[in-house]
Amino acid sequence: MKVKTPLRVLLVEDDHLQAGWITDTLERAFPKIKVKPIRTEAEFYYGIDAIVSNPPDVVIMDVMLRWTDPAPDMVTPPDVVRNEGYRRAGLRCVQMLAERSATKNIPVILFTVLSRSDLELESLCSIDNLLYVSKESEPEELINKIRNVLSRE
Amino acid sequence: MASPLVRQAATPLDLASLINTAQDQTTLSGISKILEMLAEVVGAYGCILWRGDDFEGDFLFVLAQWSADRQMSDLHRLPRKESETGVAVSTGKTRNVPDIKKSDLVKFDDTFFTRANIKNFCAVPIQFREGIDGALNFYRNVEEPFNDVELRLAEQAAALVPSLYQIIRDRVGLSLIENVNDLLRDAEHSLVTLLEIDKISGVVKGLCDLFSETFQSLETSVFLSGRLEEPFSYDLIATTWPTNEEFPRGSYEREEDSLTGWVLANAEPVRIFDLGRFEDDKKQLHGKYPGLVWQDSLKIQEAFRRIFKLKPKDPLPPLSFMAAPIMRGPKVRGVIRSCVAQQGPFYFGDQELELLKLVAAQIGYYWSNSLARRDLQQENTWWQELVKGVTNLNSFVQEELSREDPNEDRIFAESLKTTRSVLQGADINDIRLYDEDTGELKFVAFDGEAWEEGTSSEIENRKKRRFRVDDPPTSAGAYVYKEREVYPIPDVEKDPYYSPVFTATKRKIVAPIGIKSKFYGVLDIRGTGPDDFPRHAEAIAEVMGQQLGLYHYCAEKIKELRKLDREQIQAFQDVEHQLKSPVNLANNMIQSVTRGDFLQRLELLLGNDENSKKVTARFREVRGLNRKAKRVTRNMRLFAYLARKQPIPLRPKRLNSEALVRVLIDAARDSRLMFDPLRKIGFWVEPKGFEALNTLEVHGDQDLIEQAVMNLLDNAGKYSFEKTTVQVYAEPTRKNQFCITVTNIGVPIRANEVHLAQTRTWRSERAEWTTGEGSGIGLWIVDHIMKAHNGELLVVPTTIENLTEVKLIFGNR
Repeated sequence: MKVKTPLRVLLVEDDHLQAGWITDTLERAFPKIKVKPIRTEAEFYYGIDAIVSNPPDVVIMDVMLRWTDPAPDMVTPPDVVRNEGYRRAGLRCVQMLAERSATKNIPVILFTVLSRSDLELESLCSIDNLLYVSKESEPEELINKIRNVLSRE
Repeated sequence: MASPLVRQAATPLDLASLINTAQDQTTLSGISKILEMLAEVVGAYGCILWRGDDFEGDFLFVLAQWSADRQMSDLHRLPRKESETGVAVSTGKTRNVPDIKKSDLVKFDDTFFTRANIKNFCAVPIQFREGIDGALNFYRNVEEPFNDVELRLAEQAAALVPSLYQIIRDRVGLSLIENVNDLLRDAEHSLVTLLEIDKISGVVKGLCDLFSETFQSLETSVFLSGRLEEPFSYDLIATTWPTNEEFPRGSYEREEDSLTGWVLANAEPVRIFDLGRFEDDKKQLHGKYPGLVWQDSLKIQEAFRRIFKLKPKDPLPPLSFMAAPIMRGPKVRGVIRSCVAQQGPFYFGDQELELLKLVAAQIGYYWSNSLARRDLQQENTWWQELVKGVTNLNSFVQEELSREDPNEDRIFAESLKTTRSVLQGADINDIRLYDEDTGELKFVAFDGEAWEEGTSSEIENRKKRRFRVDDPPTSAGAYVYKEREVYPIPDVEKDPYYSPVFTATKRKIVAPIGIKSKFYGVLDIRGTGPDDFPRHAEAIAEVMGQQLGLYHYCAEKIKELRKLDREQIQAFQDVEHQLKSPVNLANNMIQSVTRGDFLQRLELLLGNDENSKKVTARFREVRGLNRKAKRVTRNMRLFAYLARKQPIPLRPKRLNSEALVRVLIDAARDSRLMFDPLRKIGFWVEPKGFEALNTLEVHGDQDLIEQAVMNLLDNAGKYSFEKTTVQVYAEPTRKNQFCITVTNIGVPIRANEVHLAQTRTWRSERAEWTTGEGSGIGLWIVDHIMKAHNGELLVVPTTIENLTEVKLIFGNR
């Protein structure tokens, strides 16, 4: 399988230790890889245009994300975020990607401690390129999932 | 020469005066006053007004009379064919009898003739308004008979009598109606509160008295059904029968063979001219009232003689009788009857019967309305009692269910007590619950002394009885199980589903206990007394059954939830026990490996390149993560204690300044690793203030204090703005208490949120935006750790500079 180089991965993960470990793992598995980190849902929400104009090859999406980091000038989240809470943040980000033609076909891997049944994916059933890897599994599973996704293209 | 007793003929007829006099009369006997005036005009000693009976029989009867000596004639009737008066009536011509001794038709057994020494009289025929014939007789006790002028006067006077009599009847009728209306209006105003049957009956008695007074009846009685529904028994409500005389009948049945029974059965009025002639007039009476039978329960003729002290052979006046049904719509509610005038006129005509019917209608209206209002008032009272009873019961149940271990038996017992108090006649009650495994109903709660009667084995066997819920049903409980509705048994002897438990039971209600479609059992209510259950009994049983269903549902749910709660807490404890060992071991291993200058030596060994730096960084991160795991694990253990309301176990010893500072510096260092280095949040422990521990003797569990500070550091780090520092310092308070303070600059806690901050799982809205994971119990656990130390957690609201302070104040020893 020939992986497209350089591989561009958008990593949406609010835990910096997790993000560091995932990045190290991907860099060891894919030598020429560029990992762009996004740490909060607000960063994704307000950065969506930049993502659309420069779409990645694959997205690794944590599901439970905080809205923003503490700051004196914190932006108030939209009502849907206030109503649904942080537990569905990653799914909201997936929905935003699916609604844009430039990003709707990008493979998204949900990388989370939640089980599939906890995710309540009914609202995202129409998204074909949505995949799932549990954070409890071995690192190879994530790497193999990326390889498989990219080889289908 | 005229006898001193003779009244001379005076002025001619004064019509206006006669009419005024007639209009002034309030009783029918007022006709005597008219006769007095006419006798005066004609110059007579006495005057008798005669009338025929209803059927144009063989006799004429005294309607009214007057004599100068105010004595009444004993003669009440005259034969038509064998009397001068009868001849006058039949021929329609005035008969003048100038000398009674010379008339073959005059009989001398009348005491009036002998007492008053009557010498002559004249009889003038008249025609009453109803078409009944009669005569007006004038009598003299002087030799001189009536001359032609006087006879003409007598005829003129007689011609006026029917009209004058009608005026009196009309006037009396109007007066009666007015009085009846006044009485009822006053009764309506006074009967606004308690509608007791005695008070209602008192008003009916008042109406009877009015009627008797107006028509001079010896008896006016009212019989009514006591309930608005259709029984066929009518009880005596009121009577004017003399109180010193026995009243033989307290009630009547419809269709029984009696005058009153006929009226009740046929809903038609009856009027009989003379009860004494019932057998003679039977044919004509049956023509008007088919099948009419007279029982004479009052023994009226004997009673009349007795009351008016007449001798056995004394003649009796006509004993008139009339009765009218009291209706409510198409239904017969009762009867009013009146009989036997005590003085003239000794009969009731159609007009009097019409008046009786009017009074009957008024009584019917009043009685039904009063009973309906009374029943409504009673029902309201009962419903109020039910609401009060259920409200009190709900309070009791609420208290019972909030206990650590609610006892449903107490709830059942209290529910049965409430049922008995709100439902009249609920004497022996119980609750049976449905056993799904066996398909049977079994007793679980009992109320009523009867449950404890008998030998101990009888009592036990009774309580242990079980009832299958077969289909098709063979018992009331099975029926209720199937249909899920209340099953009333008004008479246990006639019900096919009744299974006897107590021989004294006369009636029963079985109500389902359930909620929505769920069936739990039945509520049995038994009555043993003579009275039926009240009308609303089934509704009450249904309400109590539903309440019991709700209570049982709540009790079951609470049991489930408490069990779940205990299992969850137990799970927490089990997980914590499993984690504690490996986590502590890993922590200790990491601590021992990375203690002192190990990391510096590792850096020297590996070099300064990126990969080497990553290795040492990973060591630090692993240490930090391990400490976090230990902190979270310990939080879980503490939560398990607190959730079970158990005290946090302490291992207190005197706190040492250096040891505590070292532990806190390690904790701060590891906390820093948990936060994104790009945000540049610093953690600093100021050792200086901790020296106070050298002088202040403070005892505490160092591990728990470390836990408390780590929880605070974790919170502070999560909510801090970037490029700020979380600081930890210590100092004695003004009260010389040892105090550790953790400060940060970040998301504010408002003053009105301070009391919430220490509650379990609370986060402010702005804090929610900036955190993802976490259970929200950190500060709550710190609060309990400090309470265990007899100390205090104090959260100082954020100041203008976004500075938040959290203080751990240790109590004085």
